[in-house]
Amino acid sequence: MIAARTVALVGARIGAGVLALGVCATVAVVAAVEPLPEVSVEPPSVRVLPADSQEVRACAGPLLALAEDSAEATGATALGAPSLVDGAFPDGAAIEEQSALALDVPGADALGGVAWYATAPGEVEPGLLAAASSQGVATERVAGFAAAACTEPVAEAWLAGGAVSVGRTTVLSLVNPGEVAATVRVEVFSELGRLESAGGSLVVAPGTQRVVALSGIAPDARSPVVHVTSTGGRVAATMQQSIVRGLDPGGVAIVSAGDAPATDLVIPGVPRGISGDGDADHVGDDDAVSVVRLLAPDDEDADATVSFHDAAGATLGSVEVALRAGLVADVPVPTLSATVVDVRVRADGPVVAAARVTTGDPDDDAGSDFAWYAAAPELVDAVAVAIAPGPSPRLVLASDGEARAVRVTEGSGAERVVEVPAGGSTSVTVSGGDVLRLDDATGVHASVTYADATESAAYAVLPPGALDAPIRVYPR
Amino acid sequence: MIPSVAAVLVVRGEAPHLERALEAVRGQHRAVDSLTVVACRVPDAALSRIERAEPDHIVTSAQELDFGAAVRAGVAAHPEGASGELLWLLDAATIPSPDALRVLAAELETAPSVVAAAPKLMRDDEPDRIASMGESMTRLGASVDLVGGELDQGQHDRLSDVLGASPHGMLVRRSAWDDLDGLDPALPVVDDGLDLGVRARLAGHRVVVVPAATVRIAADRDGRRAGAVARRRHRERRSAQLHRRFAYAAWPALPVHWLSLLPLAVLRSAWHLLTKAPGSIPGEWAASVRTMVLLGPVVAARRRIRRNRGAKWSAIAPLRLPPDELRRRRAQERDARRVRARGQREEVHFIAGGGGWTVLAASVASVLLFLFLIGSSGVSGGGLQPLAAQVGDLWGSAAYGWRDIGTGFVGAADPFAGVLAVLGTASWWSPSFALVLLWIGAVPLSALGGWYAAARLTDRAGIRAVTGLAWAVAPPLLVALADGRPAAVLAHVLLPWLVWSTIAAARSWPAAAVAALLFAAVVACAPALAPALLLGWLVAAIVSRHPLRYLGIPVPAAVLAAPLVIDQVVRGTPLGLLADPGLPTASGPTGGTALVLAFPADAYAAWAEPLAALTGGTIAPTLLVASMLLPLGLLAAAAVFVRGARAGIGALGIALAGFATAAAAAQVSVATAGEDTVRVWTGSGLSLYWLGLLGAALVTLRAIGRHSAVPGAVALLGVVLAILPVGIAIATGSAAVQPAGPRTVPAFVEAAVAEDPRVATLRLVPQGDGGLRAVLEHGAGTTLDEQSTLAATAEALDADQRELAELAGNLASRTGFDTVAGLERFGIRFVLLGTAAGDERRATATEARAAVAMDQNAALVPVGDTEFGRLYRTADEGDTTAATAIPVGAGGAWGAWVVGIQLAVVIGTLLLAMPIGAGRERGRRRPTPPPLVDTVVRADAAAEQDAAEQDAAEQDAAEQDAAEQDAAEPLEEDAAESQEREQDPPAPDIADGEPGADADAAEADARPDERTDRGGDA
Repeated sequence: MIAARTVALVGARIGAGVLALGVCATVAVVAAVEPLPEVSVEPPSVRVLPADSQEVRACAGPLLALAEDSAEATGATALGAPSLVDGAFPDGAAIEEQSALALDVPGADALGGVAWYATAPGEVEPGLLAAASSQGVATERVAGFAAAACTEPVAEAWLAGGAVSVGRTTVLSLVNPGEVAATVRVEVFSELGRLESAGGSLVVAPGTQRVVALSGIAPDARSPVVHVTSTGGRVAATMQQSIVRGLDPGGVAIVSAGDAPATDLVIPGVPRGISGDGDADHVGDDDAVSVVRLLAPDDEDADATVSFHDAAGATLGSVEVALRAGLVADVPVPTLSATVVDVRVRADGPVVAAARVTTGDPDDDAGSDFAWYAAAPELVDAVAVAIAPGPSPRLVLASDGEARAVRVTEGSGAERVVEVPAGGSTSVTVSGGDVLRLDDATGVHASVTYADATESAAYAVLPPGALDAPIRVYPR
Repeated sequence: MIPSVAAVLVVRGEAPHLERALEAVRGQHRAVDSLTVVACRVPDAALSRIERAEPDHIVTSAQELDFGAAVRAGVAAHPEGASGELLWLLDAATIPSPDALRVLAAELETAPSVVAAAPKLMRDDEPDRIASMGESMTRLGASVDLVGGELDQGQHDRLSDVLGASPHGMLVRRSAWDDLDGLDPALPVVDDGLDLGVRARLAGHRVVVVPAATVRIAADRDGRRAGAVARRRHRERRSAQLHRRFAYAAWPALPVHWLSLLPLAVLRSAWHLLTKAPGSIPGEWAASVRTMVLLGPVVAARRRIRRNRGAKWSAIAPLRLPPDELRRRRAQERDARRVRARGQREEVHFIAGGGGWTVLAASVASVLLFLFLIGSSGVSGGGLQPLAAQVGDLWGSAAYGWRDIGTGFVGAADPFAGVLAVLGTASWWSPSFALVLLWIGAVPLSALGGWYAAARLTDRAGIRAVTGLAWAVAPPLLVALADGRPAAVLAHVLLPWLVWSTIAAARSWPAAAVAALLFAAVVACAPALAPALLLGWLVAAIVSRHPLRYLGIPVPAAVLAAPLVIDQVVRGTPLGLLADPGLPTASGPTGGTALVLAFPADAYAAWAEPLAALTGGTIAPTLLVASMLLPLGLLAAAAVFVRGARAGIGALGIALAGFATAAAAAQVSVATAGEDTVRVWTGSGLSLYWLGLLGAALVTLRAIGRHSAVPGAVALLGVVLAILPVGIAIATGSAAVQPAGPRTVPAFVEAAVAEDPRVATLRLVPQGDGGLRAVLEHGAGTTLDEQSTLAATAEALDADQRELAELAGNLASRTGFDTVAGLERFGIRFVLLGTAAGDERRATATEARAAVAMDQNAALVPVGDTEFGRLYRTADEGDTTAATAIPVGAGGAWGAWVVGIQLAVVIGTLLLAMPIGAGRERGRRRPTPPPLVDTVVRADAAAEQDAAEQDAAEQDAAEQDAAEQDAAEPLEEDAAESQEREQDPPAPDIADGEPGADADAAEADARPDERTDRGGDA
C-alpha cells in the first residue's frame, strides 16, 4: 500500500526536477538561438600622415624615335614637344619645374619641356600635386596621339603593354629625379616566358633619364609586360609604343604604370574597338583587335575571369582564361553591345592586366590610333588629376563593389558630386588643361581617356604613392 | 580571640544560582558574622530574594562591576570591624559546602603568616571535578592553573602553599586586604587572585590553599557561542599577562617590554594563524594596544607593589612552576591534541580507491599528447610566451609599479602575474620550464583534482575514476591546451580543488584558508568567473550554518585585485576587469551550440574534416558531437529525479552559472591587440559548466549505485571521442602550441641583449586592414609576466604611445620626419619588420611599403631577413641606457603600501593554511558548555576530559560520510539552498536541514546515527 505521502513526495520531486530541467533547457536554447547584445571596444590607433613629404611628378617626356639620325644610330630623337599641364592643391603651393634641357639623356638631343615637377616638403599633402603631358604627332612613320600622367618615382612598376616585332617599336624610359642613383632591374614577361635585361641592372644616375629599347632586351616579345624594380633611388617608368603597318603609321601610345598584381583589377572606360570574336588566332597577326593582356607573374598558374560591364554594372560578356605562370596572354575582346565598357578581371592569384584598343580603321586612309588602358588602382581619399589637352577628354570613375559619391572640384573652383553606381562606372566630361581634385574617392578606380574618330589615349589616375599615403598605426 | 568573618557576596546580572549561594552562606556551620551583598544590575526578583536573606549591607550599583571592584565597593560599605577581621569573598555562583568557612577560618587562625586561604573549587555540574585550586606562574610570568579540570581523587589534598589562587571563596585578612589595596582593578577577570597572591608573597605573607574546604562553582551559560567566549577569554588572558609583565618588570626592562609589544603582537598573530586560531588575533592586538597606550593602571599597580614590597622576587621563585613540570604539561596537551585529531581527518583511500590508476591513466594520455614537449625547455604558440629569466624579475612584475610593456606606464599588476611568479619560482633555474611542466602536468593534475572532488561526494571507486578522467579530458581544458592559453589551463586545473576545499571549509580553518588562496588563484586566472564564483560563495555562506569561515574566502582575491580594480574604475574602463590576463590572443566567435557542447570557439568543428572524409558530409559535426556527449547530458539531467536531487539541482545550478558566464563572455570583447579585438575566453565559464555537469552526473551515478559502471563508462567514452580530433591535432603538431624555439627575437638582437639587457626593439607588424602595428620591446622580447590587462584594455592612447605611432608611421613612409631623434627618444636600437600573415593584399602592400621606406632611410641599416622578419639596426650606435631605463621609484609610496598589504594578507592566509594545526581545532565536537565565566578553565587542561567524549562523536562523523540521501525528505528548499548542498557533504547537513537549528533537537530525529556533530567554532 503506497502511502499518500510517498506519492505526494515523489510527485513533488518529479515536478521540481522537471522545472529545473526546463529552466536549464530554456537558458540553453535562448543562448543558442537569440543574438545577445555585444560589448566591444575599438582598437585605438593613430592615423599618421607622413610629415613634410615632398611631392615629385616625373613626366614621360616627348615621343621619341630611335635611330632617326643616321649619325647617331643608337640615339633617340624627340618628335616635338609635349603639352604639359600641372597643378596642386592648395592653389597657392609653389611648384618647382625641372627643365628637361638640363637633363642629361645619353644619346639623345636636348629635349624641350619639363622633366619633372616638385613641391617643397610639407607644402602639399600627398597626392595633391598632379601633372600630365600629351602629344600628337604626324610624321611619315609615326602618327597618332598619346598622353600620360606625370607620375611619382617608384621602386616598382608594372607596365603591361608594348610589342616588339616587325613594325612595332617599344621604348622604355626611366627618369630618376632624386639624389640617389637608382639601380634598376628590368624584367620582361612575354608570351614565351620571362626575360631579364642582359647584363643585370641598369644604373640611372640621379637627375637623368635613361631610354632603353625593348627590342634590346626581348627581341621577339609580341606581348610584353615589363616589370621595373629599382633599389637605391626611385624611378618613374613609362613605355612608348608606335606601330607601323607596312608603310602606314598605325598610331602611338604611351604605356604608363597601372595597378600592382592583384586578384581583382578594374580597367575603366575602355572603348569597344574592333572585336576579336573571342578568336585567339587572330591576335598574333592583327594587333588592331582589342585585347586584354593578362599575366600571372608569380610562380603559380592562375585562372582568371575577364568580364565586360557597361556603365550600370551589367555584365555584357565574359571570358575565362587559364593563365600559365609567367606567360603573357592576350585575350581578344568579344563582341560587345556597348561602345565603352569597364573591364573587370577576377583571378584566384595575383595578375597584371591592361587593355589595348585601336580607334579608327587601320585600312582606312584617315588613319588609326591605338591606346593602352592600364588597370587603375583603388584611390584613397583625396587625389589631384591633371587633364592634358587632347580630343574629348573624359574622366571615368569606376567603383569597386559599393556605390560611391565622389566630390569633383575643378580648377575654376566649381564642385559637383558624381555618383558612381555599385559595380558600375560614371564618365565625366572634363576640359583639357584642367587640374581636378577628387575627394571621398576611397574605393574608386579612375582613368582619363581620350577618344575621337582617329585619335585615342588613356592614362590611369594613380593614388598617392604607397610611401606617401597616410597609414594607420596601432601602437599596442 | 575568634576573628569575625565578613562575607561579601557579589551578585551580577541575573544570577541563576543566587538562591543556592545565599542558602549555603546562611547554612555555614561557622556562621558568618556579617553579610554584605553587592548587587550590580540585578533584576527586581533577585533583589527581593537578596532582601529576604537579610544581609547586613546591600550595595547596589547600576554599572556592571567586575569582581574586584564589586568587592571593593562591598568592603567600603562595611565599616572597619574588629582587628583581625576576615573577609570572605563570594559570588552568586559560588556555593560553599557547609563547613568550608570553618576550615578556612581555622587555617587562618592557626597560621598567622597566612593572609589568604583559598578553598578547593569544584565544578557544580560535575561535582567530582576540580575547577581550580591554586594558581602559579612560570619562570617567564605566564599564569597557570596548578590543578585544572582533574577528577578529584584526593591527589592534590596535600597542597598548601601556593603563589596565588582564584579569589572566589577566598578568606582574606581584612588588614592584609587593606594593606594590599585589594584586587588590582586592571585585572578584572583573569589573574586577579594570582596578582593578589604575588603581592602578598612579596610583602612577606603566605597564601595557602585548603583542600579540605570545598566550594562549588557553577557554570554560567551566558548564551554566547563557544567561539565568542573563547575569543574574549583569550583577550582577557593576554591583557592580564601583559599588565602583569609591565607591573612586575624591573625598571630598566620596561622600555624594552614596551617597544616589543607590537613586534610580539605580530609574531603572536602569525602563531595564531599557524595554530588555526585566527579568532584570537583581534584580542591579541586589542590587548597589546591597550597596554601600550593606557599606562595609568600599570603605574598604579607598580605603586601598589612598591608600597608593600618586603621580600625579593627570588623569594617566590620556588613557588613558580618548574620547567620540567611545564614540559610535562605541554606533552600532555600534545597528546590530547593528537587524540582529538585522530577522528577529524577523513580517509580518502587514494590508492585503494583507484586514484592512483586514474592519475596514471591521465599521465599516460598526457605524455602521448605532449610527446613533442618532452625535452624542450619551453612551450610557445597561441597565448604562450616565455617567462622572465630571473625569478626576481618575475616577482617584480607582480608588484604594483612600472608596467614594462610597450612604452611603459605606472599601474597595478594583474593578479595573474602573481600566479605566474609562483609558477616560475617552482622551476627557479629556468622559469619558462614551469610552463612546460604545466602543459604536461595539466591533464594528470586535473584528473587528480577531479578524483579528490568526487571523493568528497562518493566512495565508489568507479564513479571517482570516471569523474576524475572526465574532468581531465574536458573540452575546455584540451582546447585551452591546444590554443596555448595558460590562464585557462590553470583555472581548469584548480577548480576541483576549490570545490574540495570549500566543502571542507565549513568546519576547518586550514581548508578555508586553502579555499581562499585557490579562490584568489582562480579569479586571477579567469576574471570572467569572478561573478559566478562570488555568487556561489554568497549562497554557500548564507545557507551554511557556520558562515564564519566562509566570510574570509574572497579576502585574498579582493586584496590582490583591489589595485587593479581601482585603476580600471578610475580610468573609466570597468569592463576591462573581465579581460583575460596574459598575452591577448584573438579567438573566433563561439556559437550558442558550441557553448552547450562545452567547446569554446567552435572547436568542435575540428570534426568537420574527418567527418567529411568518412561520411561525405551528410552528418553535421554538431550532430555528431552532440550525440557523443548525449550520455553525459542524460546522466546530468537525470540528477534532478534521483535520490540526492538537491545536490543534483545544486550541481545543475553551478552548470547554469558557468554556462551563463560563457555565453556572456562570448559577447564581450574588451581587449585589443593591434587591429584585432580580443574576446573574453569562454573556456573558463565552460570549465565551470563542465564542473556542474559532472557533479550532476556524479549524483545520478551515485544514486544508481551498483549499476553505475556501464553508464559512467559510456559517458566517459563519449567525451573522449568528442575531443579526439583536438587531441590528435595536439599530438600531431597541427595545434597552435609548439615547443619553443631557441629565441623569440633574432639572434642579432639577442647578442646585443647580452651586453645591454634593456635593448629596445621596435617591432612593426603589418595588419590586415593595411595598417601597421608598432610594439616597443625591451630585452629579449616581452615576457608573459610583463603582459598587463591595463595596457590591453586601454581605450585611449597616452602621449608616449602617440609619439611611437608617429615614429612608426613615418618610418614606413617617405617623409621629412626626424627619425633619428624619434629613434633616440625611445632608445630604439633595432627595428624588426614582421612579415604579413597570410596573403592579405593590403598587409603585403604595407609590408612592402615599410620595407622600401626603411631601406631608403639613412638612419637605419638593414641587417638582413630573419625568421621573425626583416631586421634593421640604427646607424648611430649611441648609448641608449638612459632612454630605455625603467624609471626608479615608479610605484612610489602607494605602491610600497599596496605590496606590503598584499604580502601580509597572502602570508597570513598561507600560515593559516599550513597543516600543522591538527587537533587544535574543535572541528567536529559537540557544543561544549561554555567555559565558566570568571573562572579560567584552560582549554588544554579540559582537552583530556573532552577527548573521551570526542571519540564517540568521531564515530558518528565517520559514519555519515558513507550515508546516502533520505528518499523521503520533502523538497521544500529552493535551488539556491541546494547550491550550497553541492559544497557541503550532502548527506549530513541536508539530513539535518529541516527539523530545526538546534543540534540537540536534531538528535531526536529519525536517524540519529547519521547526524554529524555540530562543532563549536573555536
